[in-house]
Amino acid sequence: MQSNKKRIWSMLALSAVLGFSLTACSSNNNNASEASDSAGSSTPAASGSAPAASESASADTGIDHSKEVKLVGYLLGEAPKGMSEVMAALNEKLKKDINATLEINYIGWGDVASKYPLILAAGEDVDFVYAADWNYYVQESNKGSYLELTQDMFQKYMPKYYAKQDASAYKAAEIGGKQYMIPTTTPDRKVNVMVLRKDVMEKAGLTNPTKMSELEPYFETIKNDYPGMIPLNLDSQYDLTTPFGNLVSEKFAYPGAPTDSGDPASVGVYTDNEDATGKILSITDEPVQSSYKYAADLMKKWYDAGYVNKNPYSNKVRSKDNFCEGKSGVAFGNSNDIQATLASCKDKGIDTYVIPVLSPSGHAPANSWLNNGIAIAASSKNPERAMEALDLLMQDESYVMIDYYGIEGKNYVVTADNKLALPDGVTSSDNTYPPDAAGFWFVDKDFLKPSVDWTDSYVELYNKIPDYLSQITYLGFTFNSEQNKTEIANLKNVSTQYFMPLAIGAVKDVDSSLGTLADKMKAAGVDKVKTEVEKQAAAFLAAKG
Amino acid sequence: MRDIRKNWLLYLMFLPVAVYFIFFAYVPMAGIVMAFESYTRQGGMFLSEWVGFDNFHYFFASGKAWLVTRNTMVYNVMFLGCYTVFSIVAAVFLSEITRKMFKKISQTLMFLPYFISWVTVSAFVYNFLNYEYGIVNKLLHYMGLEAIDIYSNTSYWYFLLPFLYVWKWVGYGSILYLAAIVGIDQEIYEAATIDGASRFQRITRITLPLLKPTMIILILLGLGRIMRGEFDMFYQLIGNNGLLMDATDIIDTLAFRSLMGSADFGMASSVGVYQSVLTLIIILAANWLVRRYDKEQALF
Repeated sequence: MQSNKKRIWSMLALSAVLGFSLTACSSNNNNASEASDSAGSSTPAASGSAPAASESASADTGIDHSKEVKLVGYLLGEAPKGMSEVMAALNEKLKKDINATLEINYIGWGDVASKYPLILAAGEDVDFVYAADWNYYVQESNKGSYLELTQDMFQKYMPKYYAKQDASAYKAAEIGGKQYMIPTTTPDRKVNVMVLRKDVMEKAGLTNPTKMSELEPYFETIKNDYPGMIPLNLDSQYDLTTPFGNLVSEKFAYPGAPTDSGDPASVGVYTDNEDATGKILSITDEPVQSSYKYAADLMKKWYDAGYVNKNPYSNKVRSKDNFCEGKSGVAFGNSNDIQATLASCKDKGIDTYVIPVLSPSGHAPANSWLNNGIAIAASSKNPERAMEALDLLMQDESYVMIDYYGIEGKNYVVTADNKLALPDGVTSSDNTYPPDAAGFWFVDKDFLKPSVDWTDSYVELYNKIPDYLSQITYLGFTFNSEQNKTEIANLKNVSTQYFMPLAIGAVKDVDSSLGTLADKMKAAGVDKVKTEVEKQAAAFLAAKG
Repeated sequence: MRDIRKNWLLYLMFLPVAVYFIFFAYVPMAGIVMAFESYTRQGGMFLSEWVGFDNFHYFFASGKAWLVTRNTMVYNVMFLGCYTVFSIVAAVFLSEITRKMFKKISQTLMFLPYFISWVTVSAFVYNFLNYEYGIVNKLLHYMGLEAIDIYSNTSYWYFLLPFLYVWKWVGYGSILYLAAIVGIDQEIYEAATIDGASRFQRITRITLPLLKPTMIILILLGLGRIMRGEFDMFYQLIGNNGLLMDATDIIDTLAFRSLMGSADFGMASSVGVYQSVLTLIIILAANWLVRRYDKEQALF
């Protein structure tokens, strides 16, 4: 009897556990369709809000602020520590000006590709999102994730912005004749840079390096004399293809990313930025082929010599973020986002040397209007108020100082000669709201101020930037890949498997690997993509006149 | 009807499970239509443009469809085999341990990895195995041996992946089997002991045969997942490492890599449908086989 009872209990326990495992697999199986289900169900709300917007616009000209609204926005990156204080300050102003409060959420760098489309698809509680041509603007516009914006809306809800913005910016943001994005009024003036340590340079006997390929003795010195420091300590997202791209740039005006994807780690269809005729190139055309071979050969040499970390795919720390800790020999970034690195190196007493990445003719491509911007989500319930808030956040100096620099007296002070400095007792590494770090990259940058922290080499670079920038042939061109989804999907895959190892130099034989890459791309349908790019590019050039 | 009145308590107990499956397994099945549509927000799930099998095209055009399907199956069969064997061995050992303290501690330690996510595991593994400052290579260095570059050599991963899988799941599996062993009538063991059966004989002649039904059910359930790659594991451990890809690419990672960024729901669901259809075939085949040899043990 005793054992019988025991058996019943244990059978019950077993069936309970089995039940668990059953439900566990079934819930796994349905993850994908569940997510899509919720996307489907939120659609009516989205289509409902669009007519509401146009209705209120036509009804009366005075804007009604009687109802308090809460706006939710998504930006890229991570919230700085001092975010809550900054939000409190912004909300106090917003409440007074347009009776709205703001909540900002962040999509971490590692999750952008997966989370960004999902947040728009789920459509719950999102009014505006960061948008840029390098961040799925075209794809998401095609999917209808953003609210269409008209000139009337800009005029009415974003008067400050409308007054400042150049007419060509609206044109650049059009996808299939409709505009979905609020491009920045001040496209970035920045160039990509590499940062070296002066102490290592001295030891290596390197005086004035101007390009990547001259850095070999520098790497060798690090390898021999600086244990714990990896000359090229690349991360999986940004740095992975950067040294390769910098080497290619020594041979021709390499756009850094193919025209068809805008993703630097991808492969496909290229162009020479400084070729006025705008010929579209594939990987087997010159100058792409020989430049790729040149870059791949050097990278392999460096990889084999141990100058490159062996598994950048698993490394999530960008070289610019551990450069000052002495873990990477070179920091990669652009002239804007490298400022924090330079300042923190200065605090630590490390002298730095900045090299801009330029084309053979000494130029860097100017950034397009779409490089930074913001879009209203199609599901936003208060698109008008969101636009009004953005007008203030982007174009009102008192707002811009807060959202870009933080709280005056706590995160920054303005010196007598109108420069930006840190308050007494605050260092750049414990500043709770470092400039540029909160993701408000689309604000009017004419309000920004030079910093007292800038090193001489940075100031020199900063002053030269306008001379470096050149208007490239395809400035503002965005490829609409709607017709080539299958090919793009497969090209991405080919790129990961066959291009990325080549870019870090981790291949056995460069020539055969380049051959394999070209073959695989052909099989994935790169020619079809090229034809489509050529068609759209020709139309773009014709419209430009 | 009379059956319901008679066994109402059992039906009541079944009700939550039925509700769960209707809402989370059957209703979402309607989402399959998305695999045949060019999904847009305006069209939604049911009104988007119908494109037939276009969404499936990229998967087969990748030239890797067969490779990843094979990898997915081979790895999962390997995982299922190792998991079953090691779980049973562990369960038998645990059941033979009489020191209660020791039994509890070892069981807890075995179960612990189950709670660690693959993200964390991948960080462990990276710090153990990476070329520059991994613990393994540091040890090899002190012993005067050459460092090994695990992250660019496929052969290590044929061993590492099943090893990590077993390490993570064996605690969980052993509990299922242990529950079955506890359910075996103690009188059988007592009788066997009196007849002079050794401990080893008791295990091979009593425990293992009586575990067979549990094993078959668990294997059949495991087969239900055979086309679902262990995405977390492969993605976290291998990531975008092109050098390992031919050996470690599974359906899920291929689809993720190809579609990440474009986030095309139609194309993503097409892979799900492909996996589901293959899974259905495999389960039907496996169940048919079990039925043929032992009707009692089949799932349906």
